Parts: sequence; structure tokens; C-alpha cells
Amino acid sequence: MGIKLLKQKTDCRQVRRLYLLGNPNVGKSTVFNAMTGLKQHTGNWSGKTVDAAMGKYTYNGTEYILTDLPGTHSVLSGFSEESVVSGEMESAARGSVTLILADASALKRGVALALEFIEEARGGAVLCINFCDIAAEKGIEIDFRRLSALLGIPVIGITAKRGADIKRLKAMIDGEFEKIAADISCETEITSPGARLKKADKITEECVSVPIREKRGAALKIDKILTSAAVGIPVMIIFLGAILWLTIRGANYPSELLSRLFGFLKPYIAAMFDYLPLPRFIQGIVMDGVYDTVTWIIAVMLPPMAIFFPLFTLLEDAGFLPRIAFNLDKCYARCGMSGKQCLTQCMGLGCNAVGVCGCRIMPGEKQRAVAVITNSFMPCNGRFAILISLSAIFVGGTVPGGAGGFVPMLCVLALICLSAAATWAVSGILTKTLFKDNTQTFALELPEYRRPEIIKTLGVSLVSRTLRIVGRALLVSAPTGAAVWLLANITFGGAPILTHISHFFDPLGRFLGVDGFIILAFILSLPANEITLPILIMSYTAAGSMADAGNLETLRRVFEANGWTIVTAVNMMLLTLFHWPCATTLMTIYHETKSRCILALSFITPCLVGMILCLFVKCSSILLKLIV
Amino acid sequence: METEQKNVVFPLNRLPIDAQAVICGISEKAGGKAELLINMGFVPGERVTPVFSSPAGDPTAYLLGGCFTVALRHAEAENILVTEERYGN
Repeated sequence: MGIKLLKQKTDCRQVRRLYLLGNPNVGKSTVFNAMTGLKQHTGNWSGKTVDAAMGKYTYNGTEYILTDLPGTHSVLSGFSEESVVSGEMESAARGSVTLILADASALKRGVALALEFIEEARGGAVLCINFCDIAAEKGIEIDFRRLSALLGIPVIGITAKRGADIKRLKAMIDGEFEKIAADISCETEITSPGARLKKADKITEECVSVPIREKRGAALKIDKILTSAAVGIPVMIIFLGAILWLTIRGANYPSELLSRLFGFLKPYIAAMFDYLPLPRFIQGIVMDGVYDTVTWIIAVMLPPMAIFFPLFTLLEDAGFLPRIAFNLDKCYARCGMSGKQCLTQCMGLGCNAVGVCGCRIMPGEKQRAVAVITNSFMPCNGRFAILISLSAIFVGGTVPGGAGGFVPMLCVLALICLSAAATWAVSGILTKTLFKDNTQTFALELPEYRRPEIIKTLGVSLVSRTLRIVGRALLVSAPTGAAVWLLANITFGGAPILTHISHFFDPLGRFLGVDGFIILAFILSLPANEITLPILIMSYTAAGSMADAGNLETLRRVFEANGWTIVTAVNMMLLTLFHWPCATTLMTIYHETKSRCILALSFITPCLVGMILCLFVKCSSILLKLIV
Repeated sequence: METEQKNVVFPLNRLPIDAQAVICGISEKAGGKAELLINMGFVPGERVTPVFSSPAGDPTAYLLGGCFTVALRHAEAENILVTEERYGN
């Protein structure tokens, strides 16, 4: 025993372990990011952090390892979304300190959690009260000293977005770490949740000057409007539409500029090859294969992502997404699912791999499996940009001006609604057949609205999300671009190899109302959806290069020269929404579920939906032609 | 008659919007869900007020203890028994 204790002590001296525990949505990820300098994605809804994240920081020469635990209501609880926390907490040794984070406006919750933690005696604890600025605005005053005395643990009030407050917190932890870690309450009496809550109520009433319940008027009014029958759903659609419109209109200009810039630079870079003693085909691979693909992705894919995701993150930070889930829950209930699926879909709109991870918030294994299978119905940002380009070309026309942004916006909005409808339909079928689940539960927290930190949000979502995703796309696109160029330029029996392969897929393509090149492009873009369109364009323009293909008008001419009609365009968009998930998502699905069956279903289900919808469009267009 | 009415125990989903009540307990019908509800903060003695419903009328958002909003479906709220008087203590 003595040796063991000693060993733990030396371990503590080398690295000090800190845990971050708190009710959902009290800003744990914000504090975590501020302390470690890492960029874990934050959002204003509970369950945003689904996995325990670890980060390091050094203060005053001591290294600290900080673990950010997902939000929990209880230190010990066996529910799916909270199982990670309890498991992590088991490993919390005696030499650790846990920061129990609480929201100053909902202090009682934090106090109740702190009381439970103290009862469990799982190590030293500090109650850290966040959002003190918001509480001060509401006129709430907290007596930190009294609270500390009543709880028997140190209490500190902070505002996590202020750097000075984080420094103060670090200094306090550094100064008193040993003392806090050693000071474990001996009170082992386990009380019932009810009694604990009453105790928390009493403590809070003693330490907080203003009764908090009086102070929710304004937010409540907003909520009542946003969730009313007349306004709720239209407002949601208008918000989404406004974001899409801003994205489509806003992305036009940088796209145009970038593609012109890359087009302008190309001859100069190509000219450099003339001085190098390299065979001619190397220039072809590098310039027409790699350069064109990579610059196309930057010019066409980057601007919409760089506009859409920061805007969407702002809505997320403000706390709007749980309200969407709340408003739409009835639709999900009819399909045997929980409204929380809506949150996983919203995450899927960013990246399906993230959406699949987010499915852990679903109650129960069966609902989680259904949410995983249907997640790829939501167009991730890679496919999103394909939809925007195609709808701008074929639906909105390339005319600049109001109609140029408005009609494609309606088109993309309709496609997203179609995705949602398909999700409901397929979820309904799955929960009634393969994944029968009679124990539905729905309990969703509606966090308070928060003013998003606009500049910081823009920066983080631009740098950490957009650039990372584009980086991944570029990494995949460079070799793919080279490979496709080779396939398109090496002839075999009088035609390029690419043409032979696409002829093989042509019957299937024609059957679905598209062509073999489109099917081939989807197959080749399995590693990353962003490269579907560049591959397609390169296949079509095999002989030449895709020069100036960033221009939508040129793109339209390329597509029309290859026999595209409006049916081809619509079916291409449908297949973009509904085909197999990308390789990253597939790997995430297997990693998350460890089930080959769910993996196979996730692959096949969207394909089937896509095929059915394409056939429907093709048949109705034939019927229409017969009638007219 | 009036005093009887005041101490009547009824399920939470019958409480009208903006009316306040105190939770008395979780019905036995809840089964496995009871623990989840308690964890969410629906513990005996807690004040609860339904604040707004979704456009479809279900689920409803409940303000718990004056500081925390949780949305529950009617099927869940049915299992939570409340009274308009402060119970116990």
C-alpha cells in the first residue's frame, strides 16, 4: 500500500492529471480549448462532445494533462451518452483534480453534481463557475466564499472566453494542486438524488442573491415564438434558405476570381516545364492532371464551404439547433426515432463522419444504428458544393443578378428537404423491420441562447474545419487527378482506357438516366466526394484539359456537349445525395458500430434510394414526353 | 372540495402551459425510463413549469427548478406525477 501511494505521488509530480466534468452545455469544450490551446469543436447543445478528449498544457514548468469529459447529469450513470464519462472517471486516480464546471445562471445543477462528486470521493475537486458575465448581466450575484465554505471545496468564478480568467484558473490550480488533490472529503454517506437536489437548492439559495427563475423572460419569449405552430417551421426554413443564398451568392465572386487567377498562372507554370529535361507526358500529368484538379477544388469547393460553415456554426453556437430538433420531433416520433437524430443530421451536413460519431447521442443501440445508416443522406460539405454548382448551371442559369442566386438556393433547399424526407421514410421502414425498438424515450435539453462570439467562431470554423477538409480533399485529389489523366490519355485499341471503363458502366448509367462517366466518377471519388466533379470534367475533356472549367458557363457547355439534359442533371444531383458514403465515413461507421451488417446497410441503403429516385425521375420524364 | 383539488396528484402532461407544480414522484409504469428521468432532474420536490410546446403540440419544454429547460414527449411526461401544492417537506 505504502509503495503504491509513493508511486502515485511521483507520477503526480511528473504530470498532473486534471479532469473537466460538468452538466451538458456549460462550456466545458470552451474551457478545454482555452486551457490547452486545442481546437475541439464547440456548439451550444448538450452532447456536442461525445468522446473524452485529452489535451496538455504546461504552467510554471509543470505539465498538466486535461481530460474533457462529455456532459453528464450524474457522476455515475449507465446511459449511452454518459457511459464514456463514468468509464473515464473510474481511472481518475487519487492524485487527480477534477474541475466541476457549472453555469452561473443554473448554479443549482452544478452544485448538485459537485455534491455527488464529493460523496463519491473520486479525487480533489474545484467548482468552477462559468458564464459569470451573462449571470452578471442578469443581475445574479454569487457569494463564492460562502459557497466554498458550504461545499468544502474551492470555488472559482470565470468567464471562459476571457484569457485573463483562464490564466487565473491555471494559477489557482498550480498553486493549490497538491492541497486540493489530497483534500478528499471523508463524507461517504450516499444520499438519494432527491435529497441531494434539495441540499443543492438550499446551498444555492444561500449563496445566490437573485432568484434566477425571474430572469428568463426575454429568452422564453423568443422560444415561444420560434416554437409556435405558425412561425416555428417557416422561420427554420427561412434561416436555412438565407444561409444557402448567402453561400451561393457570396461564393460566386471568390470562385470566379480564383479560377481566373489559376487560369492566368497556368501558362507560366507550364512554361517552366519547357526548361526542364522531362518527357512531355510528365507535364501532362502535372499540369492537366494534378494542377487542374487541385486548383478546381480550391476555386469551386473552397468558397462555399468557407461561407456556409462559419454561418452554420453561428446558428449552432447561438443554441438554435436543439430548437430545430424540438420543432421536428413529432416527425421523428412517427418514424420511431428521437428528435435528436436531427442534431446528428445537422452534424452530417458538415461531414458525415462527424455525423456518424454524433449518433452516440441517440437513445438506445437500435435508434443509433438507424441514425448511422441514414446519416449519409445529408449532403456533407463536399457534396454540398457539387449541388450548388450543378443547380447554378442547370436550374438557376448562369445569369448574374437576383435570379442567379435565388433559384439555385431554392433548388438546394428542396434537395435538403428531400434528404430529410428520405431520412424519415427510411428510418420509419428500418425501425419497423430490422431495428424494432419499443422503448422510445425522448428527453432533450434546450440550452439558453448565447450570443455567439462571431469573430472567434469565424476564425475557428474557417481554419480548423474548412481548411482541414479541403486539405484532405487536395491530398486525395492530387494522385487521383494524375491517375485519371493517365487513364484518359493512354489509348488502347483506338480509345482512351477511361472510355473503355466508362463503356462498361454505360448500360447501368443509361438505365438510371445518367451515363457511364458519371457512375465511374462516383466510384473513383470513393476516397473523397469533393473530387467527383473534377473527375467527371476530366473524363469529358479527356483530349484537352479542363482549362477555365471553373467558369460555370464553360462547364455547362462541356456537360451539354456530352449529352446532358435536365434529367441527367437532376439524376446526377439525386445520386450525389444518395450513393455510398465516402471511405472516411465508412471507416468511421465500422469503428463506431463494429458491425459489418450496419456497415453493409449503410453502403447499400443510400444506393437503393438513389436508384429508385433516379428511375422515378427518368420514367416520369418519359411519360411527360409521351403526353406532351 | 377545494382543498382536495389542491392536493390531487396528476401526470405532468396534464399541467397547462405556464402553470407551476411540484414533482411528487415517477410512476411505476416508467420502468427503465425512471432512472433517465431522475437523471435529467425530474426528482421529487423539484418545481416544474411547462413553458412551450412544439408546433405539433408534442413534445413540450419544461422549466425545471427555475433554471433549466428540458423537452419531454407526452409519453414521458405521463410518467411524472406532480401536484400543485408543495408536497412533503
